[in-house]
Amino acid sequence: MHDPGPVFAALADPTRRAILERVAATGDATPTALAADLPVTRQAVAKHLASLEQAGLVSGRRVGREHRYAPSAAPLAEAAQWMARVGGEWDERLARLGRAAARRAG
Amino acid sequence: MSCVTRELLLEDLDPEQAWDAVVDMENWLAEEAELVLEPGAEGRFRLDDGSERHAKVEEVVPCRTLSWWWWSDEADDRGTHVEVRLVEAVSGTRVVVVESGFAVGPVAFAASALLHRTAILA
Repeated sequence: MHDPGPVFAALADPTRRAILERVAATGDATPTALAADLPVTRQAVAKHLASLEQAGLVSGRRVGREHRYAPSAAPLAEAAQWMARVGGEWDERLARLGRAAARRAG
Repeated sequence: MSCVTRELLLEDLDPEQAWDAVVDMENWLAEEAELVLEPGAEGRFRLDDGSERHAKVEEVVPCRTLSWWWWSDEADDRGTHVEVRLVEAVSGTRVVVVESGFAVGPVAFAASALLHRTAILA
């Protein structure tokens, strides 16, 4: 069992959590794409990704001139699946709410 | 860490009308909703797929916020938290749903405990 300290440290920062969530949701991300999505620079994203990689939460590989990152731990894959499933359920529920509300307004 | 957000604009409805639609839970949320909407009240939902979930109401602020915890009977289900928030918009009322849960693996669970503690200290 490896020391969980780095995992906690990596997850204690909200920007790192946002980055991790996006990597988990897309399955494959570059610092450039992540920086476009967040209010931080590409350099800052790259540093956060390095911390996440050190904690064993993502794994990076070099493709041409870019580093690409994928979620590396099983819990993250589970988290991504959970988010996709639960999101789909809420999409359906809210669609029903919209129809019910339209009947109310009409 | 694991948090799902969805939202929907209910056009032409003011927050009061939107609230009435939201609390009519059997019209959108679940097949059956046996739950008194008072903080601390416990009840249950039967979802559209036939599964059951226990629920405990957390917060009820009419026309603004409704939140609850819910969980199934499955042994590994630590439950999740759902918050439904109503926000007045120009052309109607926005319904924002946030479901958060950390019952997705040991790292996430450990992290949730840590984040929870951080949130309390903050």
